[in-house]
Amino acid sequence: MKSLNNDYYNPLFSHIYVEKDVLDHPRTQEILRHFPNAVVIEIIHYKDVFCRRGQQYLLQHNSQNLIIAQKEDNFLYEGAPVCQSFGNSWFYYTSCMMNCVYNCEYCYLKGMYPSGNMVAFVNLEDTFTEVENRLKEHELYICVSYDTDLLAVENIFGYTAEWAEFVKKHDNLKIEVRTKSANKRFFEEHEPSSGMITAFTLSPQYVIDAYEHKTPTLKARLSCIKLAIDKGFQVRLAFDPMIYCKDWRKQYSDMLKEVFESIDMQRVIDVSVGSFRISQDYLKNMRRSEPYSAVVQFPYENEKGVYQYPKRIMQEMEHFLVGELSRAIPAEKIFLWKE
Amino acid sequence: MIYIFTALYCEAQSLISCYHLTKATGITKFQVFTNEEEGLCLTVTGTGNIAAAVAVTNVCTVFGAGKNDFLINYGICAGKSGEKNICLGEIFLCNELVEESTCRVFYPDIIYKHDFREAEIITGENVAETLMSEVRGKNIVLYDMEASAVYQAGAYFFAPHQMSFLKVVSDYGDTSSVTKEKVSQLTDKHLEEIASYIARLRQVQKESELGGALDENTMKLFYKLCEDMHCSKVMEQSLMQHLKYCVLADMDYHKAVEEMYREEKLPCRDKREGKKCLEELKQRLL
Ligand code: SF4
Repeated sequence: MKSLNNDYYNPLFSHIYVEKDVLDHPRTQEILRHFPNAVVIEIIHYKDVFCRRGQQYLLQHNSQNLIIAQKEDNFLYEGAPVCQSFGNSWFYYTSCMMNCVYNCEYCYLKGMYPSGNMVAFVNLEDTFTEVENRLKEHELYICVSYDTDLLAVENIFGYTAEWAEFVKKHDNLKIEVRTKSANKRFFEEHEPSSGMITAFTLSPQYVIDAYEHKTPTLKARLSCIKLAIDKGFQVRLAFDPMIYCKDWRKQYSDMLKEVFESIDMQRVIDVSVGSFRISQDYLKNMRRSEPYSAVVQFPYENEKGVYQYPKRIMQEMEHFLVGELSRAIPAEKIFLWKE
Repeated sequence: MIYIFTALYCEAQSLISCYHLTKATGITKFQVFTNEEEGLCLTVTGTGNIAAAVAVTNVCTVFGAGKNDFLINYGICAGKSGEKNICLGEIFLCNELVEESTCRVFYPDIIYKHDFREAEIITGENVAETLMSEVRGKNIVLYDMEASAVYQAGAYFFAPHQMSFLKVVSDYGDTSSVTKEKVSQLTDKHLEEIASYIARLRQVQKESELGGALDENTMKLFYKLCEDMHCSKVMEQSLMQHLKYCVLADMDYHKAVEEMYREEKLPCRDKREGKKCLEELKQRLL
């Protein structure tokens, strides 16, 4: 992806838009403390900024701003069909943040949101109340780092820690925190619990360099995973999305070699595998806004509204990875994404 | 192109001479000055909301403003005395524009680095004698008569990051001493800062113009293949997407194409053969 010289852009969160009603919220104040030089702009509703007409996601991402707001409804969403539920029947996700500080070219958020700016909802308690109400009826499995990467910004927001504390109080709640980060500090400073699974997404270094901008290296992610496992955290490895490149077999073999050398696969709770797929509407938007991104411009095939790799490539890639993984981890612990 | 809009000629004077702008013919309702080489187009809109909105719409339509362009609204404004150290002659980049009559708020994106102080501005319909600055419980320190209208008209052509609003404080609400000469002086004082801001936007423009679509040779090959495979619209799209990916992923597509010509699979006799041939080419490419 062609990116403009960073010198032209304001630094991350140079401007912070805050809804008037949450200006005095303790979390707002705590977040603002991290950015003493930011220009703080008071707003009425986050959509006044987030949903403006004609915003350019990619450009905004180069100088990402923050919007601090209050979530009013939709505290829990049912899991989307393109996501894995890992055998959990009550599969939900929640979005206490929108958008991500990382900048993966293939990220569906680029096709889904009108803005590249980040939104943080500070009224976590309202989500917790909603979760507690549902828990009275049945167990829950919630992806809490869904339209964002919570651990990547944990040092600023501390939301993963809040979820980690919350989950300890509820036996019938399980949460998944998905991340591409290598945030060792979190695992050093917190205690593990049986209700929290950290799902680390892994990609070959080639894919990270080419498409997963601003994310930590494979080495850094693996080192963090090792630490998390050693500290007793439940770790899932997500080889999802697998990204095609001409020598994908070599790239994924090299990556697995590094994974197996660095971490004890027996101590990983499970792994997920899935090749890249995306809803047609999101890809349409992304193709318009990322004309020079190879991963976005790949000639995917449209299967009932979902773009995916041509069957031959998809099957080859997934079978290859599942085959290699099953040498290191029992087959029942490998979840292959299926429609 | 960078489109600059000022309400008054005296606000534009220093920019016109600095960039050697010459009067454009063709637009008669407003004074428009351009320098094609510099990629600049300056319009004197006249005072007030309606004049500003009409001028922006007219000029941007005639010149075809769009994706790779910028808009700058430059001029004087009133400041609220005793607030946030607002000094006469100081320049601000506005990060929030409030329309007085409707209380609607507009937020230009401030994504490029700059050396200006930032502030919010309210756009009213009358010359500000007593500054109406309490809007939706907010204390607004600058007041002008065009910014929010320029934004709203500009939004038909530009994204929020393409529009900048630069305002120089000329008075604290009492306009009796604001003469043409004084306005020229005030705006002239900031010429250097404005010029360096314009230079930065130009640099951004230049870089985003780099890396066009497929190069000429690939396009030639694309057209040839379309013809030789008797491509339908859908086949054309699929072929284009494959070539695009190969170019972006730095993959050699020539070899596969040449082989197919050598094996006499190309050119194809008809569309049916072409369809088969395209499928084979796609397999060979990926
Ligand atoms: S880490 Fe995940 S959420 Fe963040 S940009 Fe990458 S794909 Fe999107």
